[in-house]
Amino acid sequence: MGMMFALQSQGNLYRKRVQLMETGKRRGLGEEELMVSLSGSQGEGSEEREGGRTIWTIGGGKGGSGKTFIAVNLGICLSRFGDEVVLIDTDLGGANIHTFLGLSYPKRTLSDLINKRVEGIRDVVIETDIPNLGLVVGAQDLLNAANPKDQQKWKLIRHINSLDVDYIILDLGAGSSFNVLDFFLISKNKILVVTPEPTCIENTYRFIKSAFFRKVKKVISHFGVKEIIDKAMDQRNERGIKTPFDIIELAGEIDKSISLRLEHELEIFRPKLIINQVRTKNDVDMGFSMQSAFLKYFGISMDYLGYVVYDDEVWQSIQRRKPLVLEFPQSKASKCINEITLKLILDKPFLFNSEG
Amino acid sequence: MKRIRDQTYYELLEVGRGASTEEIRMAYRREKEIFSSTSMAIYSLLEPEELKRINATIDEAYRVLTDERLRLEYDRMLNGLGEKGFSGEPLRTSASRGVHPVQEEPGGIAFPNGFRFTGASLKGIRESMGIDLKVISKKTKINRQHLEWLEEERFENLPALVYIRGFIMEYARALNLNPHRVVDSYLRSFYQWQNKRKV
Repeated sequence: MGMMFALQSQGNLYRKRVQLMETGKRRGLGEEELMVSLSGSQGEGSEEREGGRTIWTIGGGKGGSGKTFIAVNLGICLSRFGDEVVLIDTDLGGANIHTFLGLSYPKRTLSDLINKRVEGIRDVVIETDIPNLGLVVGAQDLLNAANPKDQQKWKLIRHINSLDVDYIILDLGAGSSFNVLDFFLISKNKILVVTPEPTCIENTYRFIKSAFFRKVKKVISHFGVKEIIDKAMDQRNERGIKTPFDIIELAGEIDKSISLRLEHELEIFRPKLIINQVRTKNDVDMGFSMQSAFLKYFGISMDYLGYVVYDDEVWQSIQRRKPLVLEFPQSKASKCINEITLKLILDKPFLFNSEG
Repeated sequence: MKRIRDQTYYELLEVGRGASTEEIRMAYRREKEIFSSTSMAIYSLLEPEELKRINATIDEAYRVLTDERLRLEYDRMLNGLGEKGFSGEPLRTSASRGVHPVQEEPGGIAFPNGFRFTGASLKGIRESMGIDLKVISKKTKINRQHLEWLEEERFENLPALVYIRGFIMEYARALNLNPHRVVDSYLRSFYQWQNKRKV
């Protein structure tokens, strides 16, 4: 039985790759490039699929870094591969994803789901003009919706997990509150959007740290270790606990199996990084530098997915309320987003090509 | 992944064990850029003290790996080879390979070439200067207990090599001694102890 299952899913994977190849070719990607990337993909993608779905969560802590812009354009690129994609705006205070798609605020939103005016999440998925792309708009009107009760939040997460489509893209609100973090953590494909400016980098580091500590606090039940993690969240704690290494060391003194578990969590956490609004080569390199420094100091590897250049077309598309990849498909920024989409589907990190 | 203090110099510079001097030089430059105080990529990530320590470690990694003899010695340590390479005589390192038979220390004390800086000799130097360990501890911000262990060469109590290196360099500076010369000499005791432990 298990064997059958494995074969079947391998078949699906193969079909998927062939499909990707064809679509990729149609999209003007070199055959060689595709072959290389496909042969390198060991089908991790299939493991990532949670009950048939792949969820991408897009966060980063800082408002205005381009999370929604990236989410919308990635969603469109992804929908062209023929899979059903649903974009969900989880910003429960200031939802605006519809504006990026040139739509007005829809009748049905997440607040209807939270307030039980509808049965399930399917009822709040609205159609867009783009084939295969659905949209769930967050709440704009409800003050209390920005801070849903814990119970409501988990219910919402269960709803999202029950949505039967190929891909779900979650656009997160700003900040590092538990509500934002818990949405971020529902996926194995955790994407961070960062702009090359100190404020954004500061928020990003705080965001990843908080997300990681939140995650491990959920998987570790030992009270003493939980306390140590709490201390780490307060970076100026008197015991000088700062990095996961400190936690692992202290946890190891309590129970070796817990420290091993923590090491494992540290290894698999792997958020993905996109640098947005890139103007210079230095900005591109910053992704590599962040990757290297964060791994060395904090022990968390990040996959550098790629960058999106800053160009006037991005600004124009937002002004016109038309998605960039539709309005300016030939722009440099569009090409960047296409590349990132492909890397995400193939689960391949960013490598410098010879053009550099 | 390991803490920076537990990473080998190769891991720290992200180069292979067989890296050429040129590769090491490039890697060094890259790391120094990433961890420079004005680097945006590490903005808000590190306290100034941590940043200083990391930079000192990167410098040290570069110094050791670009010096043929030091690198050989370091590799031997990593490989955990036996004591064959070592004799009781101290290895003449770049710091002690001067033309003059006697090197003048910044503090004005002259130590003959081949003088061995051990825990005991450092303690002797310190006491002859009339400096209390408390003063060193205050100056170096190194825990007094650690300083005592360094003087007693109680390596089993001390943290990893990179830390011992950093500690001894600070200690040497506090006594106005040439930190590189002292550390190269002192660590020979450490390597010997480490090799013995492996056997």
